[in-house]
Amino acid sequence: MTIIATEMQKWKRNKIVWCILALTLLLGALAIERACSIARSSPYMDNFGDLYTMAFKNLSSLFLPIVLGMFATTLFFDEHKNDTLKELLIIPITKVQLYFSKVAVMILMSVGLCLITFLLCVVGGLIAGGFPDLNAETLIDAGLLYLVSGLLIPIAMLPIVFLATLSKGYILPIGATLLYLVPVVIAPAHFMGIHPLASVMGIYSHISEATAAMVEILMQGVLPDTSPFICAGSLLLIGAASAAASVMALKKQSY
Amino acid sequence: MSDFVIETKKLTKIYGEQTAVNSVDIHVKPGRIYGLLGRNGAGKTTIMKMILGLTPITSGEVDVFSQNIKGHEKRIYPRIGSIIETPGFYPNLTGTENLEIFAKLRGTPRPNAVKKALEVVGLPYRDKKLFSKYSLGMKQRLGIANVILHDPELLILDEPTNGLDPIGIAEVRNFIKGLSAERGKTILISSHILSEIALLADDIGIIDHGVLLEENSMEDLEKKNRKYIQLQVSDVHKTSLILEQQFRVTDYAVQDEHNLRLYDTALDMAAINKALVVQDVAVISSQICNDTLEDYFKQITGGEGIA
Amino acid sequence: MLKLIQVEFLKLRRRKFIWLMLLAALFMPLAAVFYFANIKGTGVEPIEFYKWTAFSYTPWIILPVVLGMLCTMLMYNENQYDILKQLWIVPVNKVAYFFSKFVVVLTYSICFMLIIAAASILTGVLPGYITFDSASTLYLLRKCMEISLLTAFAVLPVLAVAAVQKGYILPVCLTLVYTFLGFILLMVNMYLHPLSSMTAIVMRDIPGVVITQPLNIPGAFLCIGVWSVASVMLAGAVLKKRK
Repeated sequence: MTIIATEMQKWKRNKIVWCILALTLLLGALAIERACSIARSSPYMDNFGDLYTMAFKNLSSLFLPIVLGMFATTLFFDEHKNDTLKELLIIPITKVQLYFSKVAVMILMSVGLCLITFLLCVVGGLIAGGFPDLNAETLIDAGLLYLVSGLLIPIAMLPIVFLATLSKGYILPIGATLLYLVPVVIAPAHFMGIHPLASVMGIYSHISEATAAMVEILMQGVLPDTSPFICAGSLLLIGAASAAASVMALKKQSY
Repeated sequence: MSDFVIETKKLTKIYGEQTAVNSVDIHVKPGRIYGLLGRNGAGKTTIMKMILGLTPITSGEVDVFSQNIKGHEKRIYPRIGSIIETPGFYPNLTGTENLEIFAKLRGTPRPNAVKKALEVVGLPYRDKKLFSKYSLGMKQRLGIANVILHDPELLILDEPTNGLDPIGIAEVRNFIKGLSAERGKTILISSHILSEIALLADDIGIIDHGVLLEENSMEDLEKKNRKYIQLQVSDVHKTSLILEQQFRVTDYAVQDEHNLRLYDTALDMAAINKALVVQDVAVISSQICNDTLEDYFKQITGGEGIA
Repeated sequence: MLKLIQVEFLKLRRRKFIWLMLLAALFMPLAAVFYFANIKGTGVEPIEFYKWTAFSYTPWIILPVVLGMLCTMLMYNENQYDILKQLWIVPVNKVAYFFSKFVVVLTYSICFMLIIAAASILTGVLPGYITFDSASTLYLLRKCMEISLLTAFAVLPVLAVAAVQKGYILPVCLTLVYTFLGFILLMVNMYLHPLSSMTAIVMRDIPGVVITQPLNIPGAFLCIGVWSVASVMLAGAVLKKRK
């Protein structure tokens, strides 16, 4: 916990965090603007599910994976750049602790951004008004969706974190983040159960009807029939393998 | 139980085809300052990095506090404070904030540890200057503050006076001496500035091209360093003839056209001077001298005069 | 100036990633192989094939992102190793320094599009999807040169931001935002964003491409020109002010 707390302290005065927050608020605001401008009679915004899934798509399809990929890169690269890694290792902080503390910060950031977006959706729903299904059950579904994605997307990005630990530079992990998204953007249905981000989508589709409809749109009209357990298993397996590989990569490096 | 705080046994580091450290055995005694002396690229920093586990050891062992460092890092490292190369800190934080992070990570129990450490090195406490704006000297001072923050028993300092002005160097030197003499800390310090090590160290290890050439106490080294008579004359050739033929002196060395060293300091210099003057050899100067650590180092590493 | 440009190319020695990024040029040609294998088979019009390999996602997204990353790498390297102060005391003119970096970006862009052109021809002809003919090949080369030159100018704002920033994250993020904004504004107003304007100029004479907005080529050039000049002025002003 102390290590995680100090990780957060290192981000004091760092403008990047504020920019990420600002962009998250902007994305949420865009969804709220749509909710206010589209009439309730339109099928695109006739229920709260449309609002929170729209905000969710804005956040999770490209923005959050890219942000987490870049954030992971800075978490590791900046320690090399500032030459602080050796100072931490001789405290001593083990490489395992170092890795997991940074992953924990990534997860906290992800959950935080998802929570902010969820709260914006709730506020937006109240401001826009006219949603017949703005009730506890829908709010729980929405909250669950945002919580699940907040926890699972960082795990899906662990292969990128591995590249960030492997390379002492910044370009490889950032470039890899962008390449990593390409299959999921172009043909997510084909990669379900294989690509971690596609597997995450396979899990979302089982949370509620609204999320199932959202995933169907994201999958270009194909509702996935891959079991959520297979998706979760694949995600966790790849995540665990990436974590193990990252720790091994850190242990092999000299400082 | 070992008598040494740090003991390395055939410590070796090989990078590809290059042997950076070759079978080094160093012995750092408790409460003393051990100076690791060597040129740039000799292997001093690599040895320190291996002791601290920052770079894997190719072969050999390191014992710190009588325990093999491998597997006991959690118990040993909290008792060590170190600076390796230039100290690394977070540029977006102030000096105080940086130290607070390390204090937190070390679990430093003393409440004013950060304040005291900054006072010792002469840096302000809770000021607003970010580390990115620090001068080289300030960065080095902050590094030293980080070393003493948790009051360690062993300090490993890699060229700690780098970037400091002459007054700063003297302050750090006195501070290090005080840590050892008054507080019984054990210090392993490296430098390529021989004069600094000569003023600081109780024990010396001379390293060159990864090989530990000599390990000795400063006392023994001083005894070993030869006294001699430095003679500056107008004609070295004539002087040599006179010394050999008239005074049967053979233990001398010609340095250049005007300078000789006579290693027998019991010689009757008055008689020698008189004989030289009579033979029209001007004696410009004549004095008794000692080899400095620098001279000794040059001999050891250059191959001159090795026993 | 020529010496400065030569030196810029010498600095790229052993920077593997810069050369590896050129592999991104093969992405669309390889995607086209799969697409045409599944859908159309042989006997495809060369221009149809080249639209997939070189005229679609490449100028909209792939090339701007790659050039943006290159701009970041070129500039950040100087900052990271504190080399700028060594350059200023030579002395190297700050605007000349900026231009020399631009020349590297331009050259890289040209190489990238030439690789795409070669890969397009090979991936089209070898599996037999298209027949080799000089007219379409020359057309492909001409369009690739247009794309490479215009995109290099269109990413000048990213190069300027990378030059004035000491970090790497902002230029990388800006590359992504800038690229996607250009892609989105393509449908809204093609003459606000250099990348959209570049697309308007490139797409003007590609058969089968329908542009919903009225085509204004001078307006497109003006947009690119204004942004380019503003970028150079920004970079020059900030570099000169910086101590």
